[in-house]
Amino acid sequence: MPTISMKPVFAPRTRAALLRLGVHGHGLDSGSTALSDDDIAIVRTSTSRALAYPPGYEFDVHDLMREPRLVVTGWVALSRGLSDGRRQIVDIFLPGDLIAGCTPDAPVSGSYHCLTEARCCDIGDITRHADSGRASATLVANLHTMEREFQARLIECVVRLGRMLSHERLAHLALDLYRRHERVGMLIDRGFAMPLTQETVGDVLGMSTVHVSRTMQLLRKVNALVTMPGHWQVPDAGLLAEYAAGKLGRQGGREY
Amino acid sequence: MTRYFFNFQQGDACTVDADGSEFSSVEEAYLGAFRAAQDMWHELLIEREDPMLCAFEVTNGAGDSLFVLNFGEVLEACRGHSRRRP
Repeated sequence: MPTISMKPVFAPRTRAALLRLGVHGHGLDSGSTALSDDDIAIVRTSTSRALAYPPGYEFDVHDLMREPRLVVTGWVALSRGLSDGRRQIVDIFLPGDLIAGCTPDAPVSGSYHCLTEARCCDIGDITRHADSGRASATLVANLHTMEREFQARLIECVVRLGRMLSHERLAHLALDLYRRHERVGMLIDRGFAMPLTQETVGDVLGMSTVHVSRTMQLLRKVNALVTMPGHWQVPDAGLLAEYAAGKLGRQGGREY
Repeated sequence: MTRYFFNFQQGDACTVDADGSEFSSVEEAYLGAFRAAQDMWHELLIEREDPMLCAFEVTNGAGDSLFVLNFGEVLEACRGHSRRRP
């Protein structure tokens, strides 16, 4: 198992995590409710203790149950392997996301691993403060909101894999990633850093590598998504949303 | 890893693969093309397009044609494997 470095993480790297937990700033609130100064102190202490995990690092699910983690930087995946070596990634946790689905007594299914180098902080302190009444209801509510978002993403994942055509799946994924980067102020040049290979994108979308590549080029041709090595750009989020919703066909024709 | 390009032919039309995909060998690239044809088969049917008219022409970085995978090969691979239900 790879070793874990013990370097602490400081702002501005922690911005996404702080925003999601309710430490507002930069004109962004990320949908969370603003915290009191006492809560902010608790949150800052937890996020400043983030640890770095290497790509491929697999979290022990039982550890996650005991000590929930929040992603500070990097990408973490929840995936389920199949007996023939294939795998399905069912969720991606971005900076500011709670690595959810590991609540105590929940049935364990799937594995949690780093898609990139990731820095995660243990928010066990926050939940313990909540249990002892030192953390406010607002902070607890913000954590619950993040858990509910995880559940909502799982439903979206089922719909994406079960009912959508390939170009709709890719548009749906790209739009989700775009909006989640946008709300924490992490968009760069109308897009975001994309660390995943075609093969890994295929594991998210349930598609073969060549089909992923072909579908990326199709959306690029209609200017809905520009995929470049290491970066995805969304020239028109409204247009991408139309593809994700199945309102536009593969060639750009209106479906209904 | 080597980058291969999967140009898509549909009847008389051809869509050039500008990006390509990486595989460890030509054999793996063939399997990649085969899996993509399997993926695309049912979507073509949904859109009322004939998969039997489709093919991948796979080239290397120099543009040399390495092989052609007709989507019909996906069906041929099923022959001899079908089981009659009781």
